[in-house]
Amino acid sequence: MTTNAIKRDTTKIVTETGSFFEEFDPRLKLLLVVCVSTLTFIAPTSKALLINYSIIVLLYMLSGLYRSGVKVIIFVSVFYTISLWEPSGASEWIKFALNLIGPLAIRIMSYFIMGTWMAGKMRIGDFVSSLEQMHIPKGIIITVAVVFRYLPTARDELYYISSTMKLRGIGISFKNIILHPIRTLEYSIIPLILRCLTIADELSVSAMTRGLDLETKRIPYREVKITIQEAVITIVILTIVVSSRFIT
Amino acid sequence: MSETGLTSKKKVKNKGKLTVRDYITLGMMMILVYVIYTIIGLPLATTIIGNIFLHAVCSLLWGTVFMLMYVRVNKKWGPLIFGILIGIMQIFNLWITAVAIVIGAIVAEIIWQRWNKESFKTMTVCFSVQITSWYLGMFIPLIIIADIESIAAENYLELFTKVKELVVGPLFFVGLFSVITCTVIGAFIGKRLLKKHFEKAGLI
Amino acid sequence: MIELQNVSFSYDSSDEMILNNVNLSIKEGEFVLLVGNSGCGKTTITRFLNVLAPDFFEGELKGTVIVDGKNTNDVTIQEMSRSVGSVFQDPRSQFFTLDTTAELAFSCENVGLNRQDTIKRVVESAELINVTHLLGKSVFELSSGEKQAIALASACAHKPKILVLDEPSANLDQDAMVRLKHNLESLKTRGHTIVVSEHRIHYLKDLCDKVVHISNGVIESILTGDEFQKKSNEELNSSGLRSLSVDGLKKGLTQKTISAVHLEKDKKNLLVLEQVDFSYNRAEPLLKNINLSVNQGEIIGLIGNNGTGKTTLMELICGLKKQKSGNIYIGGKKVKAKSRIEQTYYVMQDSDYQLFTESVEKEIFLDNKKTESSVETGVEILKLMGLSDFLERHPASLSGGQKQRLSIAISFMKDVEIICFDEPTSGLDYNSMQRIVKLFKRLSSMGKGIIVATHDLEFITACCTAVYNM
Repeated sequence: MTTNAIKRDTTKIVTETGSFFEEFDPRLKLLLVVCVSTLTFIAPTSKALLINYSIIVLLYMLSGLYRSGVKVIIFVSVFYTISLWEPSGASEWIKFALNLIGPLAIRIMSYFIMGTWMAGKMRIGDFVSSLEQMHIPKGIIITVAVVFRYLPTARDELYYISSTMKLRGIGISFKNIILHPIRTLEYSIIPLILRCLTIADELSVSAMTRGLDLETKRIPYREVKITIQEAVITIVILTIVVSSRFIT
Repeated sequence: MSETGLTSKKKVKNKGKLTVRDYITLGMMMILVYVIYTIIGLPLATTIIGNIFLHAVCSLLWGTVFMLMYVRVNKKWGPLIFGILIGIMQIFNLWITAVAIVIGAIVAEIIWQRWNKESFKTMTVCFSVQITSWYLGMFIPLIIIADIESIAAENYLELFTKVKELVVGPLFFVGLFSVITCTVIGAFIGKRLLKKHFEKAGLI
Repeated sequence: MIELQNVSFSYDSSDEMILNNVNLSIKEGEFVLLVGNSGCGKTTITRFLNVLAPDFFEGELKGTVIVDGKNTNDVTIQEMSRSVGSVFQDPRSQFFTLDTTAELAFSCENVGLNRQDTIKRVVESAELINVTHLLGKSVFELSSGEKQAIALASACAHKPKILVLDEPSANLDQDAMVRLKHNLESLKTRGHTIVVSEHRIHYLKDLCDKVVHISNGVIESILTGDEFQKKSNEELNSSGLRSLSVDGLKKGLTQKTISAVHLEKDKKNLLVLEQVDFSYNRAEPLLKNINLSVNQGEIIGLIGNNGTGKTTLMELICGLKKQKSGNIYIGGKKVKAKSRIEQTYYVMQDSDYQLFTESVEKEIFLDNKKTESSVETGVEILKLMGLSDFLERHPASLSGGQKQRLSIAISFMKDVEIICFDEPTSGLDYNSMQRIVKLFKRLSSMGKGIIVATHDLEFITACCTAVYNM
């Protein structure tokens, strides 16, 4: 391969774009998340709830999140069945609880479910770019980017800390929580806080020595803009969800 | 100027303004708040009683994180940005609560700028205001649910009204009292841990 | 290109002068290696070049530092970053984004380049550092060597004239170190001025034009690359530096490949693994048919590239993970994961996860009650590790090397027969490494069985009784 051919290949890798919903503008996604989940939460009838969730599952499937979409279907089916269940011989309280838990869970979870849809397959860089386009101050954007970047790492850090605690006999076991509650709590939180401080400093150093400041306007290497198709689809979805409220 | 390097113009320029390092530190402190919320808070959130005392219990640990944040990022706008971030985190949960959190952040920021930023009292009050506003914000959706669910639970309207009265009644005040108390306790725990560990380690 | 004139520096956090009246001059295109034991001041010198000292790591700077024609007092860290690219020791906390391409574009975007130029520079940098196959991947999928390569490519993307690297090879295996060397070679050929502060110097010996030996804050000697290569290992070791030639160190050591081990029927050894399998998901088994036996007093070295499962194997042995199949015996008895935790100890690579209290003294006695004999042991081991003066210090205020030594010292206090160590000497200078060797030999003479995963060939030669290749 000639050098030019290799260069063109790499450039292709760098500039490649994903599927339609991967490239969907994050601002519109956020709008959909907020509106659809809220409207689902206050859906007046079961029919409206069902229509809303059909839209949600559709969004999942269109974005290629097939397995999660199936999980959503299972979740809704299970809790809907629970709400219809009236075991004979059970006390009033239990029947009341069953009747309540189902719809409640389905409604509250709509936020998490929509949030997961937005987060799945979204590039954090695109999200940051759209925040910049909304003229949010750069400092806050930096903070948001850091949270998204290091949240997954926090889980691993906790694993290492709790592993060592087990090895040294100060682990989060029943005995330790009862006998030495304060100490156990202190031992689990202090290393984590120290690690976060260390990461904050090391990350600052790494970012600042690569030019990150609060003044320069960033031009992202991936273009993020709202296309007409995306706007139309958003309007369509919102119309369906809103009008589901009036279906008797 | 070159001899000591201390009178460099750059240093004077940045004093008092939030720097890149401050923003990144806020991000990492936010992660700590979220981790504590996920590990202690969310399991509690599965029951209604748990929901009421969730913030109180978490505040015992949040105190340390907030105190550390206030000391490390001891400048204007710190509490406001931190509060807004907590609000953003709640957008994916219950965004109505987020509005209350942001209002709390604004109030905390006003107090922060008016009082002495280096005093423990100021920090405790700001922390308490922030978390209490979150607690209050949580009740708004509960009241909204009550209106909607009374349609669905016709057979159980009486029971439901009883539960609602209990929750939006005396329990609310019990919860409010415990949130405020626990934030103060959490702040004291934080102060002690900060002295014991972070000051000793030279990190603050 | 780079001038240090009568430079002295002390950090705000301590009273002592870390550097005393240092004079150094580096020409454009030179490859300079800074060597010396921990705490000598070489990292501080690298921090002058990217203005981290005194702007981030605050302190009092006397003298003048001129980099690429600019006095470091007159520019911010970000402004200097246009001329100086930096790579640090721990790749984990260097990444700002979640995918590699965005990471490479990071420096270009920060500088305000337009989209076309950014893409062009990302492509050029990826090709130069040979990371095109890593583009578009999540940063969580990378090995440490790959992470370090991405960090290097990102630091070079905006084409700075000078590159500063602070112990870049600390977490790398042999293969990754060779790749790092080739990348540095390519950069040198392109005319970059490169300054590297390192302990493991053998992989760079062909590249350096100048070697600056720093000791206690002053420059002890400046040699040319050729002069430095002529030095013998003994000369280097006596001045506290690691050896230059490490190829011949493996002779005479029993070496086996771990999957080819044939287990003797006798299960009465201290630790026996019999046909152990492990995998993280249903697809690829990470560890397959592992047979291993450790006798009392043995020090087994585990070598192999990162990602071959050394850490996972040790976590298995210590009960932090459960095996999918196979048996593990301690002292002849089959033991489940839960009891393995109580009978073993594991010293991790990163000591930040292993220290919990507010003083070195409390830390040492955390695991056991304080009895007369345990106090004696504690005092002795702290002396051996060179930490006796730090009894009251908070562990978080210690340097990286000191934390590491403390972490390792704690293993001595545990009343267990089997101890696993993950890269105990990474980033340590020669003298610290020898301390660890002494500790290992003590543990061995006490009849304990030790398993250590390491890339440190000098260390293996000094104390391992057998070596397994993963």
